[in-house]
Amino acid sequence: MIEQILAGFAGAFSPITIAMLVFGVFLGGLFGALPGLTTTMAMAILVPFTFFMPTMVGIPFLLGVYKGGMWGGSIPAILISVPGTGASVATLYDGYPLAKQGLAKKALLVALIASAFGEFFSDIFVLFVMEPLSRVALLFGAADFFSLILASLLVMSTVSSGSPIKGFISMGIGLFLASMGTDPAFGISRFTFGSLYLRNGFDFIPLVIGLFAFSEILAAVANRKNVHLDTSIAKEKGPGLNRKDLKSIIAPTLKGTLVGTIVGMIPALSQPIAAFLGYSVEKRTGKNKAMMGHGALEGVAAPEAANNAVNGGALVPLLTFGIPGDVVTAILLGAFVVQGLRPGPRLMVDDPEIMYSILTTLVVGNLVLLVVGRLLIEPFSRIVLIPRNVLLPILVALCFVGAFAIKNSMFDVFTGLAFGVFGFILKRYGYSVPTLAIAFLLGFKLETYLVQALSISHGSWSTFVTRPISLTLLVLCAAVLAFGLFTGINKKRKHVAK
Amino acid sequence: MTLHGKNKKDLFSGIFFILVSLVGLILVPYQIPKMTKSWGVMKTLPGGHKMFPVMSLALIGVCAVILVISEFVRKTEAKPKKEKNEDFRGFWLTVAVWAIYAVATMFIGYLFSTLATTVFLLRYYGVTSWKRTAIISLGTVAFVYIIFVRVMQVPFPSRVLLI
Repeated sequence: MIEQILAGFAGAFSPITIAMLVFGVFLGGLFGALPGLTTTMAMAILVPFTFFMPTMVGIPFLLGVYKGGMWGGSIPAILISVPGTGASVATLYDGYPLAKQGLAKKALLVALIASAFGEFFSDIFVLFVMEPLSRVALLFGAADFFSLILASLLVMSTVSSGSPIKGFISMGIGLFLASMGTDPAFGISRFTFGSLYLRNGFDFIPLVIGLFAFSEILAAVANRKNVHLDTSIAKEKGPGLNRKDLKSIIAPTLKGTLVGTIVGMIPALSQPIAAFLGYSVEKRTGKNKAMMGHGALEGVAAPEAANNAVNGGALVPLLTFGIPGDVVTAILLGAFVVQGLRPGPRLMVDDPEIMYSILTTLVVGNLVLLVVGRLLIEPFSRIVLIPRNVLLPILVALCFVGAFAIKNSMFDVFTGLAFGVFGFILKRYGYSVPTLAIAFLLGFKLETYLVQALSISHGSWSTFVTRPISLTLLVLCAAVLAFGLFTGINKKRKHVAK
Repeated sequence: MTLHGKNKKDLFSGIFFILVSLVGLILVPYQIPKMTKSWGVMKTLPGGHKMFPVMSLALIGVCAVILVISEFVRKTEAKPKKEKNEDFRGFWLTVAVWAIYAVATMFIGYLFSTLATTVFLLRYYGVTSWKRTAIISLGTVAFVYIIFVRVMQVPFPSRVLLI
C-alpha cells in the first residue's frame, strides 16, 4: 500500500495535475465566491469539460473545483453576509461580525487555513482507511448492496427536506425517471413513448444541469435576490493573522475536521449539517465560548474545517460502495463513470493505481488550495461585488453548451431546460431536488442489485432477510421509514398547535 | 370541507403526484411490452422488468396520498404570509427565451443564437450600457467558440456562415 501511495504522490505532483488542480480551485472558488452560484452548479456546468480530458487530468480538475467551491463560499459569507454556498451559512455567524469590526482579512485567512487543513486531515484519514474498507465492501452481495442503497436513499429522503413524505416522493420520482429507457436485466424498453432519444433513458448530466444550474438561474430571476447588497464592509480588510490567532484556531480546526469526516462518511449528511455541527461543538466546548457569534476566529475555523472535511469523508461511501453522499459527489460519480471508472468495492482491486492517484491528488489539492487561495483572496473579495444580472446570461450560455456537449444532442439541451423548470417548481413546493438526483443516479444500480439478488435466490424475497448485513440494513430502512412517516405527520400537528 | 387555511402547495402537489402515479400505472401495460418467451432470469422473475417502475410509481402514489390526507385531516391555521419581491413575469419570460434559444439554435446555429440570447437577457436583467452588453456577449460567444468548438471539437449546430 505504501508503495502505491508513494507512486500516487509522484503522479499528484506532476505539472499537469497541479495545473488542473490550480485551475479547478480557481473556478470552484470563483463560483463559491459569487453569491447565488453554488459548488453544485459549478460541478454541473464544468463536468462536461472533463469528458474530453484523460482521467488523471479531468478528475483532478473536478477535485479542485470541489475544494475551491467549498472554500470560496466563505468569502461572501464573511464580507457581505451572503453565504456563497449552503455550507458557508454557519461561517457568517462569526465571519460577518469580524468583518464589521474591520477584521475581514483575519476571517478570510482563517477560513482558508481551516478549509485546507480540515480537508487535509480528512483526506489523509481516507487514504489509509480506504483499503481495509474496500475489503469489507467485497463481503457484500447483491442483496446487501440493494439494502445498503435503499437505506441510504431513505435516510437521504428523511433528512434532506422539511417533510420526509415529500422526500420519499422525490425519491420515487428519481427512481421512476431512472427506470425509463432500456431495463438493466432484460433489455426491454420502458416508458420511451416511442422515442429513440429515450431508449437509453435520460442522461445524468443534462438532468443535473437542469435541476441545479437552470433551476437556480430561474430562482434568482424569480426572487430578485441579492440585487442590492451592502458592500461597504467588503472594502475594509484590516490586519492579517498573528501567532496568537493561529494558536487559537488549532483546536477548533481539529474538532471541525473530526466532525466533518464522520458526517461525510454518512450518506445524506452534507456540508451544511457538518458546518453547523462543527460550529455547535465549538460553541459548547471551545475556550472562547462567550465571544462565539460576536466575532470569534474559532467560530470561523470550526465550521470551515468541518464543511471541507466532509469532502474527504464523503469519498469513503463513494469509492468503496459507489454510493454518493451528496449531489456534488453524485456528479463526481457521474464523471468517474464517463471516464470509464466504476466506483465500488472492485475499484480498489481492479484499479488500485487510479484509486491511490485520486486519493493522493486529493491530499495534494489541499496544499494547492492553501497557496492558490491565499493569492485569490484579494481578487475574489472584489468579485463578490459583480452584479448577478451580468453573470446569469453567461451561465445560461454555459449550461446550454454543457448539456449539448455530452452527446452532441439537442435533446439533452431540451432535457436540461425541462428539468430546470421542474426543479424550480419542486423546490418552491418544498420537495428535495438533491434526493431526486441521487435516486436517479442510484436507481439503475438499485434495480440491477434487486434483480441479481432475486435471480440468485430463484425469485425468493427471503434472500433480503436471511443475509445478516442485508437484514440489519433493512431493519434500519424500516426504522427510517417509520420515523419519517411519523415525524412527517406529527410535524404538521405540532405546527398547527404552535 | 374547505381549503381555507390549508397548505395549498402541499395539497395541490400531492394531488398532482397522485395523478402522475395513476397515469403512470395506467400506462405500464402500454409502455412496457410483455415478454413473449420466458427463459433464464425471466423464468424466476416473471414480470421482473415491470417491477421497478411499478414500485417507484406506487411509492409516489402512496406518499402523495399520505401527504394529501395529512393535510386534509389537520386543523386549519392562519393564512401564511405571501412571499414578496417575486418576479414571475421575469421567470416565464426567461423560460420562453430559453425555449426560443434552443429552437433557434437548430435553425441559425449555436453561436448566433447565443449572441442574440445573451444580448437580450443582459438588457432584460438590467445591464443598461450597450458597450458593456456588447463586450460581455461577444466575450461569452468567443469563449464558447474557442473552448468548445476549437479545443474540444464539439460539433455545434451551425447554419449561418457555417459557424
